[in-house]
Amino acid sequence: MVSRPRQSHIRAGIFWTLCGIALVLIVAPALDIIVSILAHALPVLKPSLITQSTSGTQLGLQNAILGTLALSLGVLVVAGSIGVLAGLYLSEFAPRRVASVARFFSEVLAGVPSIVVGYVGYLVLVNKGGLGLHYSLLAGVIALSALILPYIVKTTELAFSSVPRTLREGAIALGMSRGKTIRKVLLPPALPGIVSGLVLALAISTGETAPLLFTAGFSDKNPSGLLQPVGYLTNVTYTDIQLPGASTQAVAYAAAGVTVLLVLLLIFLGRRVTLSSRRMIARMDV
Amino acid sequence: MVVGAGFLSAATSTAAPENGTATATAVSVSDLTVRLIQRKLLDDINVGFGTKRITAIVGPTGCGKTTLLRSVNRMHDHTLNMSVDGSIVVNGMNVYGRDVNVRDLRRHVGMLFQRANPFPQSIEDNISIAPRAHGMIARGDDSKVVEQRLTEVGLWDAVKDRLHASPFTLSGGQQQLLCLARALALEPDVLLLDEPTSALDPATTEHIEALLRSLRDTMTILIVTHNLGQAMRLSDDVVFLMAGKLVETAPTDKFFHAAEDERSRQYVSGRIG
Repeated sequence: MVSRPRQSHIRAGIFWTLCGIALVLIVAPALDIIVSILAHALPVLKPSLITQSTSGTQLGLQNAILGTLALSLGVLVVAGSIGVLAGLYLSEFAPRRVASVARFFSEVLAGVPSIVVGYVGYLVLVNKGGLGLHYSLLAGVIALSALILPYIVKTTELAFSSVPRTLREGAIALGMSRGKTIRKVLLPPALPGIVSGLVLALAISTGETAPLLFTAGFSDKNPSGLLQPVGYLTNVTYTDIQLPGASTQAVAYAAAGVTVLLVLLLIFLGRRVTLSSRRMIARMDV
Repeated sequence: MVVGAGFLSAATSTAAPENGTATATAVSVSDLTVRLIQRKLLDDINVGFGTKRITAIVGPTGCGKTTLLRSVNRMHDHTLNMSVDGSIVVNGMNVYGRDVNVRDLRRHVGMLFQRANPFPQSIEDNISIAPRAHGMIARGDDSKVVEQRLTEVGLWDAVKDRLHASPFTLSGGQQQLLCLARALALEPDVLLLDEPTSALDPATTEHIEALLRSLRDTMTILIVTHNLGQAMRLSDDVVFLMAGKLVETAPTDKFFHAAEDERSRQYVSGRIG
């Protein structure tokens, strides 16, 4: 009995040490990646690099930055609208069996490797045997959307289904229509969850490369149309890092740096919204 | 299936109101059986609820009080694997009839829940949202309705300066009053209350009980309660359920002092419950 406090002391010590190691294993690689990329990128990230596009011997990222933004905007429109509506349908309207089938396929889609999404995208969208869209912004947006869609469906469904049941019942008991219940009662508390899902989905799509390699093509010029090929940041990193020459490799790092900064910004935004939504739900669950 | 306002079960016929005249029945329940999958939550219930009277539904936990209450405004429609047989007639309308407009039914049969559940809208919108949804107020008349309903529940002075604020800034008791005002805004004929004060302090409970007494002039009130003292203070009639079956229904005074069924007497004296 006397030795018990000491024993539990040792056990607690071991436990906390293991926790500390796990924490370091999570934090260290993330920090290492961010720091090493930014360390390479910041010295070369001159304003001219951002305001110019690559042409001839002049190196620039403007085309890729605008291309990435165009792709993200496209994904937000395509995957965002389809995903939010599908999530709403699954949570509020779908009969149980339909919902479980839809959920299954959504999970399958989420499990398909991104390179496969890219290749199927090539066959279906780009190839003359398919829709024949050529390498283009549109084909890239669709392929990227297919990859991101399950994520948005899931977060939207979760956002609606985590609205307290008491609120739903309150609206039902007042004889409010389904549409009005969704708009006035369910949407306000669900909205932050939906938005944070969208933002984090955008963060994922900003960093994706594989689905675009087969579908978006590449262009040294700024995006000029839905059916034109488009440059994007991750492609610059992927291509230029393999080329000899310090200046092109510097551009690769600069592109990686901008990508990381964009992703971090989106993740930060998403977390802000998630926190506020949790607070909101907690207040309502009286 | 017996349908109609004149219906009274054998049990209710023994429960003549104090003044000796037959009261009208606002809600009459006939042969009501409610199942969750195969399990019977309510077993062949026949009971009538008097017009403009307060009826307390009492019984041990799990006896089906809330299930009975929620049958009246068809809340079970939204619960999976729940099936309802039998009929309930509210002011001549067969609740489970084929041509019933459920939204319209719920406009006439209001409900207050155990926990306050204000909507994530402003205090003011919480009141006007339902009458607006049912086309009962013209745009611009909102503020009149809001003031009237909040005054009715005694909340107006506390919130008149922050009508645009979130209802979650109110205390628990005030939130429940807001929900009562929200239900009253539809001017229901029948009000269903599911242990509305069980989470509230004594002062607010007393306030709500006084409110309910004054509302009795205009509507029929059904209240599920665990609190026998509340049933005694508040109700005109008592409906006593055990294990999904109706045991006895009687005027409150009789139920507490001269109940006919042995189980009722045991429940009142605290030997079961």
